[in-house]
Amino acid sequence: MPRVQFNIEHDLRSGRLAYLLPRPISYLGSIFAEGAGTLLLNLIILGTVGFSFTWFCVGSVPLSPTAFLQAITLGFLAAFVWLIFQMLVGVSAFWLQEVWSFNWVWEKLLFVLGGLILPLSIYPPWLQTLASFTPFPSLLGQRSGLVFGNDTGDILWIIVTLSLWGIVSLTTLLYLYKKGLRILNIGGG
Amino acid sequence: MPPLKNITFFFNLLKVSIKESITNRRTFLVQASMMVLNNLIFFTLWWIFFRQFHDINGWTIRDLYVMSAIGFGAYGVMQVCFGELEYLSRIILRGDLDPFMTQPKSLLIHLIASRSLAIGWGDIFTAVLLIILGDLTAPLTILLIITSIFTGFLVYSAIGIIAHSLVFWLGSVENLCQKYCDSLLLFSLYPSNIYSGGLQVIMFTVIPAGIIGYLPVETIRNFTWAKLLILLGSSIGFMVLAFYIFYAGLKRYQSGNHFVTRL
Repeated sequence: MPRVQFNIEHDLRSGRLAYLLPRPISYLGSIFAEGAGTLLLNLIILGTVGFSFTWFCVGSVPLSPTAFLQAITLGFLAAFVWLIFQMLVGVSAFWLQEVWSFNWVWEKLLFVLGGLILPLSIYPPWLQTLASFTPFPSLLGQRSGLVFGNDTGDILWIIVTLSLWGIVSLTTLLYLYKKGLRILNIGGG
Repeated sequence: MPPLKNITFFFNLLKVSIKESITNRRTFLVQASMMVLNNLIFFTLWWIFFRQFHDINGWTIRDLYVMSAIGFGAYGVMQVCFGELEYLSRIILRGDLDPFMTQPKSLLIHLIASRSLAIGWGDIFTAVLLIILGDLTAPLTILLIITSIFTGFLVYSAIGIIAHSLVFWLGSVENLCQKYCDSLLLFSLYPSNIYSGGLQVIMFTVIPAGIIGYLPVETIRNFTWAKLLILLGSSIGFMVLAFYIFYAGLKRYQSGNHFVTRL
């Protein structure tokens, strides 16, 4: 994932934001577009390498063309929502100056509650319930789990949850960005 | 410079660096508490793992408490004491060693101890929390954990010095140097007994994560003086090697011809 949160932090700390704000394009929009562009490039390079390597090791493609298309579409949707959450981490620089400490916590929560290292099914029930109230499973584990059994209901459920989390994160991002800009104005930019 | 004077100089420098690092109380508290949270979330994975699988090659969750307390504690002490270490390669490459070289103090100690990172306290607090949560409060266990944190600190620092000194020979490879140091931290937080053969040799030599995590845990599980001596000897050995490599590389150093003021 492109580390857009550190770009935001750099723009804030270096004062570059003051030069970018008067431009006739949205600052957040430009950060998102930049991140999405890098993401696409990463996907083409890393995705091709990863796919070819796995194909070489396994000897066959374990996905039907439809499932492959679903995996790509959901992957993009999750990546865009993930990008917005990373921008939320970046916006915390308005208050914290440095985002890496907050970023670590975000990444670790993603690993643990997203089921990246251990599958969520072996977690204690209370932790599974807790995880289901967060965006992490739909961003990682739950979405990847669809590869093993692509039930239409599950796919729709992931699309709905991801879209909802997208709306929530975007609204929060816009709200916090506006609040942050007010602090920036008080500080003199 | 006599060793005793070096030690006195180091502690005086440390006092100043720590004071400077905690000047901004709010940032310090946020960074330290975020680090504790980050470490505890990571440790949750082990807790979940050991609920399902009760041991890894004989190691139980208690051993993981010990290993993590030592790993986090040692890394935290390194960040507090030698905070400038992670910028060492950049300083060498920019030719910014000059202001340190002109002073009558140990160059390497002066350089790496000239900054203290506040986040290190988060790692140290995590170690204390893990000792309490893991019920590792028997006097001998605590004594051995503190000793192991010290030896781990020596190994982390030594590998940091060696890795960053590589730029004397290899040029602009500072990212690679940092990746090398990060990989040591990562491997030291996993039980080294899951590796075998050649990989285990690597875990005690090139990436000595086994000396930071595995050896102390084995020493605490079944204490013998021989294990303790190996632990102390190997960590001091790595530090001596690090000093030797840094000063060997220093002969190739080229000044950046900058006018730098150090206050």
